[in-house]
Amino acid sequence: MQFERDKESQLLNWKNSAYRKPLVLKGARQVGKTSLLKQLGKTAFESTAYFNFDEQAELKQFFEQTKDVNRILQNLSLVHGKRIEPEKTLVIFDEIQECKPALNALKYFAEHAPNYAIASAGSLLGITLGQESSFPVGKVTFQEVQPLTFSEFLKGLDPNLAAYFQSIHNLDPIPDLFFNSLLEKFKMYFICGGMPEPAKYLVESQDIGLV
Amino acid sequence: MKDVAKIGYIWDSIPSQLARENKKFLYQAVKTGARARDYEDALLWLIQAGLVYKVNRSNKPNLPLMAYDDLSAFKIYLLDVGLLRRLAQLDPNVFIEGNRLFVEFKGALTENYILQSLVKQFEVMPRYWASEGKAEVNFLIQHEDQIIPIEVKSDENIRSKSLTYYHQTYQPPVRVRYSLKNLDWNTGLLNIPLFLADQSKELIRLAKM
Repeated sequence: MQFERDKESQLLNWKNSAYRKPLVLKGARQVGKTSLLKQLGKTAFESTAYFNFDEQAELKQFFEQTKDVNRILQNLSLVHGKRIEPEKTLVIFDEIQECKPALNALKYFAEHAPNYAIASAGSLLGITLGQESSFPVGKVTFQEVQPLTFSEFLKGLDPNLAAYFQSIHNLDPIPDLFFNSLLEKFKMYFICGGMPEPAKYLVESQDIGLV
Repeated sequence: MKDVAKIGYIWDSIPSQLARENKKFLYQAVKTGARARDYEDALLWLIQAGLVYKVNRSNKPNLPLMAYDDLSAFKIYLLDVGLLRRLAQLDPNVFIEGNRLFVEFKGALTENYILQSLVKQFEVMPRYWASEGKAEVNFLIQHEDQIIPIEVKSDENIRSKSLTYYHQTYQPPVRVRYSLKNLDWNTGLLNIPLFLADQSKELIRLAKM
């Protein structure tokens, strides 16, 4: 199973925005940044070109040699094995903090290749950004991923109850029946937490001992 | 990466920091002889890596919240309640019965959960408020043009001297209490069941109407 994340709709908005800038997705490790981006590529793009600067350190050269985004994209296309196309390919730069020239290149993508969809992520990105005074903040869009919320967890565990949960738009007391089942499910979430891995085990196995 | 050990010491000390009644972060509690100037970079690393949240103490509940931080005091929570439970080595099966899980560990898990939920909904990082030994309110949030005090009650006992004191002193139009009681809105006090924390923004909006 895979949890449906609230973030998905925000990422779609980013994709469809007329003023789209390269995306920088922040968040602690293991909260689901990479899965979210790959999911976006699958559902909203024709293809995904995924690059990981931690696993493929050699990629760095492409960004050191030139600031010409078209040449960078050509090289990346060769590595990817397929042409990277504007609007149709989602380009993912994962663990981008491992490659400062790529981080800086986001500025040139924003200026010279706005029709390419570039999304970057990295668990230690916050630290790099805290230290890089030269980072072109205004040229990118920041978004942050957090652990699963209780409502996201509930959607995976009990969709009907989740629908009720989201329909609460008044301040009347919750009927006992719903109150008790929500509290019961909340306890499961509370013990397990919102990191997608353990939450997935819990929902699939329904065994709290595993988390 | 010479700070790796320091980062580890801070990380491991978080459960004990939160187990203290006032939960204030103390560098001395990280390691014997530890001083702020030796450890603050490591703490900053944890904050920037998104692994912990820093909640500053507020001197005065005025707008904007960030302008009234008391730089001498803050608390450190984890980004996830499940991580905190595991870091504190609390076995999941031990406290599945009743409501022990909310109360155990001086209510730290419950506070941690509420903070996580607030951080996602409100743009300004929450603070906490304390008045010289008289009262302490778990969180303050800045929402639109108001400061809203928040009390987290992890057990059935919902009496709160601090929130009452805060109310008498500053008269906020809305004050929020999270507890195991049902949803209720009564003369300025909004009681939100813990499991509904993710809907707080909407519930506060309804209360203010």
